[in-house]
Amino acid sequence: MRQRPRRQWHGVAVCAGVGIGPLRWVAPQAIVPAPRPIAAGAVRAEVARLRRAITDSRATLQQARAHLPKTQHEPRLLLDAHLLMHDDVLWVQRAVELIEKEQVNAEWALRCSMDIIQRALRAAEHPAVGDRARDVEQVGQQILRVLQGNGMPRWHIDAPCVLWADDLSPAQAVDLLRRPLHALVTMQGGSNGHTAVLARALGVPAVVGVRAGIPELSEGDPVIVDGFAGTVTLRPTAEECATAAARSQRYQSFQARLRQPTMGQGELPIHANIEVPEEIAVAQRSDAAGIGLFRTEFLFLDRRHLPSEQEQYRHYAEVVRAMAPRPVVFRTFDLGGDKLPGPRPTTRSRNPALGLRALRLSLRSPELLQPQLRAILRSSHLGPVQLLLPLVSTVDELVEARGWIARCRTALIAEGHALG
Amino acid sequence: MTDAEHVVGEFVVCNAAGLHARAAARLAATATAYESHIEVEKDGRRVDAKSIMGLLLLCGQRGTVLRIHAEGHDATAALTAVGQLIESRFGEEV
Repeated sequence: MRQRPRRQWHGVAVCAGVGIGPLRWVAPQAIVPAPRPIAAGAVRAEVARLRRAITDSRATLQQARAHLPKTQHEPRLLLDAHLLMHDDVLWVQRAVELIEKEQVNAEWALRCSMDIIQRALRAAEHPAVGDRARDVEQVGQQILRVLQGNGMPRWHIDAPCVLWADDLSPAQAVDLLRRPLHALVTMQGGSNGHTAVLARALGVPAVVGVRAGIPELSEGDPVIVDGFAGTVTLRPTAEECATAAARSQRYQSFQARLRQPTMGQGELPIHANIEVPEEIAVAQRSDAAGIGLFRTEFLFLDRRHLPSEQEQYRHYAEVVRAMAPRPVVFRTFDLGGDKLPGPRPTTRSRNPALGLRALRLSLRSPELLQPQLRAILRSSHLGPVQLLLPLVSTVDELVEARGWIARCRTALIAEGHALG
Repeated sequence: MTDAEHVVGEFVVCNAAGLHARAAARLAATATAYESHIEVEKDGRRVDAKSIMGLLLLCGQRGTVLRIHAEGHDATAALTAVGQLIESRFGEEV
């Protein structure tokens, strides 16, 4: 047999690292049901069969959800979306009606119902809508598989490999979390789509949106996945392999070094800086010893209304709870300067970096500072919380800020809040 | 019921990805927490806010104006909660 040539594709890099391994291509296993007439007397049983399949499919997803670590926020939300879709009357009812009126099998009725929704979605002709149509397809296909007596498709992966799939559903991603993977490639997906969210959750080098011809993907051939450059190289040269192996090594040892104690003074705790609660997952994955800096101003930016105390509390509580017993350092909002929230009119100054910003702005705007302090203090019963005041320039400012903190504390205790 | 309220509010979708599955799931879950009947309207088309599929079918993008109708004894609270969710970009970063 002739040796096949080297090939390289470009896609969207969604998870950093370099992975090398044998190719494992999993073909899409779409079920294409055929219409089958059913007897009038069998209609009720057919409807019951559809409902049972939906219940079973739902249970499978729920089980997958239980296996998902709490920190995997985005994949969790995607699973929630798929769970909700199972119960949605809009298409379930339509499928039931089709079975009753047309006297057809449940598979065909469900397929027709999926098509109606997908046609409507695709009519919008917006790139992001493709993602929504794919979600409908994934949920529908899962129910179809149950109807045909097959549960969730398990990809049999025993040895470490580079997995190349057409697409990734939330349920499949959860399954892959426990399998040995060098890297992941998918044909579908873009930088912000669901596939990217799930690929990132796996924490292996990943490139999505790689449109390769299926006949080229011969099982077992070596592949290099470059999760920095977004390239995928099939049947690489010996030199490319050596370079990739060295880069992979370097990245891994870099990551490992982040966790190692330093020479001499024992352990040097490394904390993570975050701007939005969604970043906790990464912090936890890299074993951060805490959150060294939570830049809270990002909750205030790019929005019409300021976040209420309750909304801030929700975000802060999420971070503190996820990191406990490790500490979280909250920096009160550093607004002003180049960062201004939507609704607040502020005067422009010559050098905004030195002007009315950070703590100086906070102290002049107690209506902003007070709800934030209260929200932070309230989150302290969930784990260790520390406060960092940005840009203190005089002792008076510090004294004044401490006054506000003390007053908020007293008020909260009087209102019956438990504080840490 | 004498204390039934009917309130309407308009909110602009401001997250980059629009009303996609995760966002729609959050909206449906928020709406489901209230007893009021809640509908979302876009360009004259109204869907049940508690139905994720209906929400997806609205094809909401960034910049889309959503008109929320809430009817029931907790309608005002429901409208506020749904509005806040939309305006907080469904909890998304961008």
